[in-house]
Amino acid sequence: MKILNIEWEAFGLEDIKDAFAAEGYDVSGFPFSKHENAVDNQEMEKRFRSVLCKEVPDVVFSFDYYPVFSKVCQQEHIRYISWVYDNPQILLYSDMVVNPCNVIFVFDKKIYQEFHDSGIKTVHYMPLAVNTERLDHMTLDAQSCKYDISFVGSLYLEELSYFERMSIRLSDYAKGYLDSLMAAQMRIQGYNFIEESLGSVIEELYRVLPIHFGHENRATREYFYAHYVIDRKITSDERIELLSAIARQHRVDLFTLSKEFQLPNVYNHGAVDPYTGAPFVYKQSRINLNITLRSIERGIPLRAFDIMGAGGFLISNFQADFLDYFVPGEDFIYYEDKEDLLKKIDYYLDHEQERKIIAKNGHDKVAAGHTFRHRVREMFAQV
Amino acid sequence: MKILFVEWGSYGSRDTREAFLKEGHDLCLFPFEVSSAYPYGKYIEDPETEERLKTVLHESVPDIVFSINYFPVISRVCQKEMIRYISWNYDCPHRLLYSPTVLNSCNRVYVFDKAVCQEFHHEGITNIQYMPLAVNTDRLDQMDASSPLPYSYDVSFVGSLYLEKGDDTFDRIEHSLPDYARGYLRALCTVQLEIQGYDFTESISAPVLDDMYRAYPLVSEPLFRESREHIYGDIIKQRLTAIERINLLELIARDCSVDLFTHIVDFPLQNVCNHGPVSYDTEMPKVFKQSRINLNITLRNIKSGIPLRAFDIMGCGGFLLSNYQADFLDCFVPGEDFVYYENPEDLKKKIRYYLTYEEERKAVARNGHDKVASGHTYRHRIRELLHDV
Repeated sequence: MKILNIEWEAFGLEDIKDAFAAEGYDVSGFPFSKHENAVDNQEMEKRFRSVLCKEVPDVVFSFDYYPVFSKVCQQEHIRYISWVYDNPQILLYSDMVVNPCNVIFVFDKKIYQEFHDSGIKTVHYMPLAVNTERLDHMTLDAQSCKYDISFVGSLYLEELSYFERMSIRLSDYAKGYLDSLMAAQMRIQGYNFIEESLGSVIEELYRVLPIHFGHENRATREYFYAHYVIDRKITSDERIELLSAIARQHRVDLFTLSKEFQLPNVYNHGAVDPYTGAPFVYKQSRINLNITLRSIERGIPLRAFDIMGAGGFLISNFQADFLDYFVPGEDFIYYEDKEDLLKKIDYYLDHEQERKIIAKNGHDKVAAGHTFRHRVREMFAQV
Repeated sequence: MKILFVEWGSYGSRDTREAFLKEGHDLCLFPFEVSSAYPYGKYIEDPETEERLKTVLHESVPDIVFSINYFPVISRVCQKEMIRYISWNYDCPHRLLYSPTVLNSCNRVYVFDKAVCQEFHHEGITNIQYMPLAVNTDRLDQMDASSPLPYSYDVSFVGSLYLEKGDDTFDRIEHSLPDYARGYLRALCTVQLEIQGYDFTESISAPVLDDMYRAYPLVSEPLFRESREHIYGDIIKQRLTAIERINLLELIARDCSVDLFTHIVDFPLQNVCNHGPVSYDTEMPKVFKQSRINLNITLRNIKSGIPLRAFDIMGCGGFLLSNYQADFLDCFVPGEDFVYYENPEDLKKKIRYYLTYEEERKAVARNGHDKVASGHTYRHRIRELLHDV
């Protein structure tokens, strides 16, 4: 089978090329930059169409979903497989999503259910993956762990974030409303109620920070402000609150973009490369934390696969989709709230053998069923 | 046993007294005033009442003192006179339970909300115990024993909308709040109405609580153990109950006829027939017996407990469709003795279903009645109350 791979700086770019090759596919690339307009771009359409006519692939593939490619594939009657790993992903709400040429995979079952319940058959559920083969070859000289507790991830502290820009212009009423909403959400795991609760302030949010996300996109304002603005702020506050709480009792090693971020007993190493650096952090940490971005309601986030795939021991917040494939207490651990997290950290720092067994189970389970090769087989089985 | 019964005209007073007598106990009455006009402090401390009670205790020498609802002023005397004081609380919340006198060794306090009971236990207060409420099925059965009452209503709701004069504390607080706190409160109410199983009112931020206090200062009595979160949380929960009851009734009234029996007369709900208030003893039971479906939408301040209304409905042989309250599962089987709904859509579905399937509905109502009659009457409770004495 011949695949036209839309190549951009996605997380699994190299790994999926390896998987395609290992599965015996013939792949050519179409270079693409995330900064290009992927919705309404006549020049791109022309360029893409000419490549299609030249290469004549059986299938087009891209990480994430881009309406512009869907449009052309539909016209040329070529299957377009997209593996969406960005969450939130507003382009899923483009009208093009129903094109019959589409085979779209999302990793959050909540999103799949939403589309499925609306009668849209082009969206499917499939968890993310990790290249355990590559990670297994990344070996360390020293056997012992350098770090007790690590967290690799963003704190969403970028200057002039949407939330900040919006927040400084809000009325006191709206500020109080949002603070209350976010505090309430932080107490609840497993259900995200921001989007449905914005009713009385959405007008004001839009007025102080107007966002236009293009015509022919069904996403609502509530969707945008909930998932692109407020969920990020909640996650930021939540990650900082949890790391602070842990740091009162244990040293925490943080690997994050915001190098200036300081907290007592938290060692901020700055950003680490997800491809070359992060796996070593996971391998050298006794405990690896996952505190999921709040817009991912049920899905297993990429970090969890990266940690388990690297053979790291994972303590995560509760995400319902874990239970589809992994056994808590056996392959990974989840916490229910701050107190539970602290308890479990204490426990697993003390119980090394148990921890190592769980990490190994997680690794082996991922290697046996959650690699890029497995996913490629699943995605292309339908073609 | 000889029981000194503190009589103040509460719901269930007559039924409780009757039960004591039927169980073969002797009763003497101690009249006690409870009314909105009565100064609140007198429930806590009052030389006149205390002297009067002491005299009566010396004269009649009862084995125990009993009251419906707990009163610190009664406990003070009983503790001094070293006589057992049993109180059976059907108000929830009952502010007087937070009096330090609740620790008196003479007390045996019964509450019908297991969650509230557990809160007290967590603080080491062990003379508060859990016991569900009750109903006098004998009296209710006799009301229509000779000729069963015909159905007059499809779906009924008997209960307060907490909108009467004097229930406007929430409005007064909200209107005087600064904007930030008002927004904060509004979001909290929005979320609380959507989410079951978590009480957000218990984690209001301290600055907002300060604002609420400044807007409408409410203090518990000196030395009382009730927190500000609890006091203001209760006001919010009562208002949320009002909103929820109105929303639900108007929602289901779009599809079927709904009859409301409530204190406030001039409050129109869309498509709902508001009959105004009914008397607890005679008119309310008739409503339950003449309704195909009786709704219970529990006051949110009652966290897990089975409210009195549920017992009243089942005791009348009425079919009960209730919101979920955890304590139901201690005594009753859902789908067999009563039915509970999980959300507004589920409520609509179940109303449609049980209006259609009459035989099934009647069977559930019969089961509920029989289960209550065989284990949840006042006589059963009296036996339990006096068991440990």
